[in-house]
Amino acid sequence: MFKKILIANRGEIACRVIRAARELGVKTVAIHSEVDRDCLHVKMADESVCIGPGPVTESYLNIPSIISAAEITGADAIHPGYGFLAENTYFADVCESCGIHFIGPKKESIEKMGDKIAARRLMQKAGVPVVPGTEGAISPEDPNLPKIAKKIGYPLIVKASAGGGGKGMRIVTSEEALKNAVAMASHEAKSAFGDESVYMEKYIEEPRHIEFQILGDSKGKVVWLPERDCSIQRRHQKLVEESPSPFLSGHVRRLMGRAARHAAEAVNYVTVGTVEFLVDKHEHFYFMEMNTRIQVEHPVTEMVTGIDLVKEQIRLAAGERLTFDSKDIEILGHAIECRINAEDPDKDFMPCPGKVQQFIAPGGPGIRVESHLYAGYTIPSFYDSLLAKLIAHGKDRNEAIARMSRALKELKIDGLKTTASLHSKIMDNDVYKAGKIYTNFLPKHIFGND
Amino acid sequence: MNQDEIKELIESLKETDLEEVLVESGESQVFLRRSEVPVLKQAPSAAAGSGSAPEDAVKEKKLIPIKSTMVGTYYHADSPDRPPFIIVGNHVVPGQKVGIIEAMKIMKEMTSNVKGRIVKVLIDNGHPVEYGQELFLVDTEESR
Repeated sequence: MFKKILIANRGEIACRVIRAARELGVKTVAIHSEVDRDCLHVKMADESVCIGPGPVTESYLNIPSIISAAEITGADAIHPGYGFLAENTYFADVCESCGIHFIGPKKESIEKMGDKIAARRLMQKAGVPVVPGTEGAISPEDPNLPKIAKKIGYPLIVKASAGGGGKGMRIVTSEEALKNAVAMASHEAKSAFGDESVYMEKYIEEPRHIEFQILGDSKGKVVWLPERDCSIQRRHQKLVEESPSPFLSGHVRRLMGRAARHAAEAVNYVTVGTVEFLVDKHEHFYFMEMNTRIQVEHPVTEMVTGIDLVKEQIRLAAGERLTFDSKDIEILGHAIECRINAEDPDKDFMPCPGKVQQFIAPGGPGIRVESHLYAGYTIPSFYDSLLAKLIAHGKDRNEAIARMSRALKELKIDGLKTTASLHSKIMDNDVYKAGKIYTNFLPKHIFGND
Repeated sequence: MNQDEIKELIESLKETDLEEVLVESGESQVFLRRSEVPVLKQAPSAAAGSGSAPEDAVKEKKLIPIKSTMVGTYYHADSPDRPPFIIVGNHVVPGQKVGIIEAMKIMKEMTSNVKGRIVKVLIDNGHPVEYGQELFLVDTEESR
């Protein structure tokens, strides 16, 4: 086991890692920027090092400063959290060359899954279903275009290779619109990303975003855990996650779990990771991508399996073996997580950093709060707007929803605008309560056809 | 006497058993006493005007810190057998080398961002430093 872990992150996830390390008897080092001097993770750790000024490129992304901080404190491992340098292969490489353990997968695994087109090919080879689509870029002038499209099947979506965020995308429902759609998407991609390459994929209607947590040890054993349904999103940002999915049948769960395991085995994955799938209304599932880090929503899986994912992650990184199998895992009740952000839902989610005048965390049975907030703390403007993760667990989905609804009303964060009111609306919504959730849930049922 | 000559004098003092040395040269005097950290006192001469202010007046003056711009291990000289770049009493100018910070086996020069006289050294040789840590306190009000 490691002697001392430096946490290369901040806020709630840094607090989470410090807690896990403490339970394992490992010392902790917090790093922080000048504006984060009063952040909770700095107060919690055994030691702290200021590594730069506010801006992320000079602090939390400043590799020399972070490595230097590990050297002067004698840390033998670095936990990157999520975001920042968590999936940066160069950083993983630098840690290795400096003799510091990077608590995450080997850099080759990160690399293989980071390249989306290469990852697709790898998954196909591993027998993991991928969204049917073209192998590489396509041209509007290609005479075989209609044939290729027919093979994929309508409706399909033309997407930019180099981008995202909705640019360079066109949904095509029939052959007549095909050539024009490809040309338009290509043109848009060129002006938005400087690269006109586009490819085509089957368009999944009413998709659900369902992901599987996997764990891998250094001996090649991989275990999959029950899924998380993250279909409630706004602009591709997750707002609510839950486990298990209200939609998935036991049979498909096992098929997907096995597919997730194959995906992880294909890249010799060690420690924890998540395989994301898109699932259509017929329960056909398709590999979307793999996240090679601990995720924000990991607590929902912890609540329904009883497994401490961060402690497992540290143990696996230290070379320990997995002590359980997927078949040993029972789903215990139902868990839901709401991400409370410092954003104003009435002003198009404009971020509102500020000073927390009062903070009252909800409590009672089945309620867990993961947060770095305290009364008197000032939210800096340089970093993301996540204030707290509110997790509710119940013996079934109805109880989890009732507890979350109660907890959201107990939660008090004065001095800032937060998304808590939006989460209350979601919990009170009949469509949500019925479990009919897809990635278009928010615009359709909460924002009223925006 | 200039700084280089004074440094040479310090080196010679180290090589002997002498406890104290007083050197008079023209209008100025240099007095050296052997201790943990050699302290230079230049006796004011009539022509030079005010020299070093009395000790208690130092506390009332506004002192500007020289802060570390890096994380690493601080060294006060080029190598273990060399004298420190600067010590208390020295005058510094912006850009003047005041120390070395070692990070990831690379030595980087730390320079002063202010002009004035070093009043206090806050960091020990070989000790770790974080970003923004105060290394020296400088009295910038004194005019030369």
